[in-house]
Amino acid sequence: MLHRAVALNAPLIDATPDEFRVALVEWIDARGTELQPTYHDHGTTAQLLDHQRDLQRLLFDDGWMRWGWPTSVGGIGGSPLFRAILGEELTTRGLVHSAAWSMTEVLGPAVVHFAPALATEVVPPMLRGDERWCQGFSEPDAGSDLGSLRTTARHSGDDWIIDGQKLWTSWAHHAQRCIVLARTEDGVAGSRGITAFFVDMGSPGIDVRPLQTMADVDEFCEMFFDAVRVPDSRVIGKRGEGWAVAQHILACERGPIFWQRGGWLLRHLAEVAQLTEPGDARAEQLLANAYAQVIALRARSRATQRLVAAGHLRGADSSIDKVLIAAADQAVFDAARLVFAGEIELDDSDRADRFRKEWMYSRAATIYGGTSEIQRDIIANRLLDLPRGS
Amino acid sequence: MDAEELELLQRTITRLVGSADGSSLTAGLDDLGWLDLLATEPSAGVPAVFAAQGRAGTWSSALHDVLGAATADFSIAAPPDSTSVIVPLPRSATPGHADGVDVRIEGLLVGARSGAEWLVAASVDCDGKISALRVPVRAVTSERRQGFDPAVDIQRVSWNGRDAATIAEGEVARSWWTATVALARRALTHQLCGTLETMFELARLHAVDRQQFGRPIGSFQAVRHKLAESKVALAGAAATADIAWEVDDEPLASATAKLVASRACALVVAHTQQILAGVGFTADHPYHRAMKRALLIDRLFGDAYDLATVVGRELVARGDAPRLVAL
Repeated sequence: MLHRAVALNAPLIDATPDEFRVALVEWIDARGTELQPTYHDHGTTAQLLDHQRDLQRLLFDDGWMRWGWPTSVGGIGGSPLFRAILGEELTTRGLVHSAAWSMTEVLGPAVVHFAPALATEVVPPMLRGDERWCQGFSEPDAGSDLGSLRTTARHSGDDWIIDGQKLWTSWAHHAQRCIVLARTEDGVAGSRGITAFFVDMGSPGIDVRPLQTMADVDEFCEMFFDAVRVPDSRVIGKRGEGWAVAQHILACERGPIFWQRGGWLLRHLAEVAQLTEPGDARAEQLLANAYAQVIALRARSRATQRLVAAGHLRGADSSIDKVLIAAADQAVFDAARLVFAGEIELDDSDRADRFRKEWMYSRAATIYGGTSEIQRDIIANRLLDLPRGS
Repeated sequence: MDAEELELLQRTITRLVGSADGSSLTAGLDDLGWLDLLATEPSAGVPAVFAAQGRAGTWSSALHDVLGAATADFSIAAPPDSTSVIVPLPRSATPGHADGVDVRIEGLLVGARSGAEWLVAASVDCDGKISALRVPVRAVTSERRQGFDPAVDIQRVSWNGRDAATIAEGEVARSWWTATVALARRALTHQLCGTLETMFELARLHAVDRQQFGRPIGSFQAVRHKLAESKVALAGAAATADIAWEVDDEPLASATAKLVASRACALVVAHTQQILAGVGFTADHPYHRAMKRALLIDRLFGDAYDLATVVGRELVARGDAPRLVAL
């Protein structure tokens, strides 16, 4: 009866993760097909995001979206594990698209941490799905080498004026807000002198151009900032603290997001298993080797979730999680492509469309959020104490 | 057992396992109350003993004891001090094969306790039904095998006949063998992870110390990334080994855990051998002993290919990819 208690705003925040999960699943099951996406192929970006918005409103109004978030931002408190479980139950059932769902988790925690006053105003509409956020980090000359970013913000009166260009910004064309990293100090390079801003996407001077991915999806965008004014009150953290904000965001990415992504991968692997003829030895090998990688990720990630829930973000250790999930992601969709033997390359069915786009998206798993090469360098330097490379 | 007691236990076991080997290690474990620990708290005792054996490169009769542990749970008359359970040959799911009344047993005794009077073998018939058979030791042909890793006492045993005593059949026999295999896989997974950790650390230290072109080889990205990949594989394998004790679906979790460790084994063996290069190829350097030990453990109760077949069949049969791990 936990969900009634939540609906009545008398939450049992001392519920165990499993009690929470059981009550949530009961709520999901009671709604049946009402929560399912209406599209059966991969869905367009607009379809994915609109469906997610509708679902988020239901989840927020019935309380589920508020578990694990502090009361100051419209949450009802309790462990962040609840957020990981919510994501897992949604992705495992295919009720949301894993990549799009990530955006509820990537940026929110950093704003709560570094800008608590601003967070009380801006986080609730994000949780309810009324507003979408995007992440303006990468630039044409600053990908893995984020410290090379060139976008600038200079102080003028009570405002900052942002000029520059961002690239690979997911869903910017559907977002109302953006967290932008810009250089605020002259004469310093690398990770110093960077500040994070909370920018309204409707501000004059912002131009967003969607790019088509190789999967023919308009997910990421390039953004141009031409003298965009942002008030002082929209600085996240302190001036010059942008690198710490970025690190916090990257660490958050490896919390609940990796957990729900694991659920998404298992959902697809289960679908492949259902479609495999018993006795197909090649398929058995492919499925099991992908499964082993997903389970290893989940075993590792569970320890990370518990650390996050206890208030300790993993530092360099989380690079291990990132390398594991990237490999598992590609292994799952490689297995699907090979088991289906031609469907992804030749067919035009809804299923072929879904798996084709997921397979292509998985190619980016070793690239986004810090390439696997960067992660290996971090592991070598900070976990293995190897001498630095030249 | 609380966290503090567990840590104390692990420290005590690590000290013992690092200072004795073979029968003297078995005696030390007996003094420590290992058999009692195996019976009452296997999830604490088995990982501690096997991981420590892996790291130290030692071997006791712990695997023999683990194989006998499930007999008591299923009321199978096989007292551990007078019975040894036979390990199947590689690529085989059971040591015994029955064709009508004729039974052929082919298998291994690995680090068995001395003085056993009886051998127990799981046997499968033409319909796939499992039974537990018992034969007297004196009736069995036994041959010591040196193989890859002569430090481990391995006996190749075989027996043919019609008069093996059936000590369990039907659901009891099937459940006993499933539980036995699952427990053995979990134990060996911990030992394999420990062994790979030792190999990894030897390679890491070499990469820090060894200078070429005027700088440590660990500063070259080709070497750094091999070590980082190995570290990632080891972390995934260790985490999976741990969760296999908490999952209700023990057979699938145990097979998956050993599959993850076997995959890590292939990668770590290849990378560490390459990093240790010439010195790792010598008999003087300790590396080769750990490497051979890892490959021996990898071979028992299924290597990566065999286990992928086991796990893959299970996924296809269920039409599902179970989550196994919960928050």
